[in-house]
Amino acid sequence: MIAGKKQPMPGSGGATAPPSRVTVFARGFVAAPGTVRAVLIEMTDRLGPHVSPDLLGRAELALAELLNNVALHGRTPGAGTPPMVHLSVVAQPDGLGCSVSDDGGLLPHVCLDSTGPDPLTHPEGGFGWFLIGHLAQSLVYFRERNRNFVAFTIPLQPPRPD
Amino acid sequence: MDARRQNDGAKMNVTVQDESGRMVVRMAERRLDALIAGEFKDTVRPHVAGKGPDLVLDLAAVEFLDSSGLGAVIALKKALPEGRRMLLRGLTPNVERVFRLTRMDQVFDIIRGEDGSGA
Repeated sequence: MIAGKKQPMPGSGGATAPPSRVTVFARGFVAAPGTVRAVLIEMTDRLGPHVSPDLLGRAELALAELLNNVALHGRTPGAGTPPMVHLSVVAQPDGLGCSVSDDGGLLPHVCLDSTGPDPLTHPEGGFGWFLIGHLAQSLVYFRERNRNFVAFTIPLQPPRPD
Repeated sequence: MDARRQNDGAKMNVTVQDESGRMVVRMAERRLDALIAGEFKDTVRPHVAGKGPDLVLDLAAVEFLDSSGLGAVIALKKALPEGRRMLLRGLTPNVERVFRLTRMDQVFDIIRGEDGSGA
């Protein structure tokens, strides 16, 4: 079938069909909790018709943790403008491929090894990188020319039964 | 409905209501995230910190919660005086996931199935 004709809508029920075309969401923005929220809402609006709510929810959570980390900790307060972020999310057959780069400070990537705070101590923070590490697969992080680059895949199925 | 009162001052949509002797705090915003976690905590804390009946935090309207929002809910639980309980109700799938992955579901009393909400 040649593209260009009207395509039938994907079934509203049942399993989500694999994307027939590459679906990409990309944005550049100044990192702040307000812009992070706005971009994530745009992302869910854009990708919602193409992926399952569960997959989208996991991607939104992982990206919220990463982007808010950049917004809140990416720049020493008073040391210039907040970091500039580039986000791209691609709907792939195996899940959502996410990449984020920013010109903020060094990310505390060692926290990715964290086993997470002990719930019994009622911790109020420290969950962000733990959640990212749990939700993401094939995570890579590197820093080049004063920019952080983080890329990962949110797999179609959760990595562990949960 | 008589005991229902809208939170004054703050723009945040939070209601406090008496329900069969329990105080129900209903978060009516769709997102409890880093943008409003602090404001949410400050808005609800006065209702939590004093002595009173057991408290139900109803999150049925919340479609998205991140670790900042989770931190706010934990802070509210810690603000409870001795002997007062806080229960959670109406966790949507995205919210329930955060509690489960962080194992905070083992620490909170979570009401499931009431009002037909929750997984």
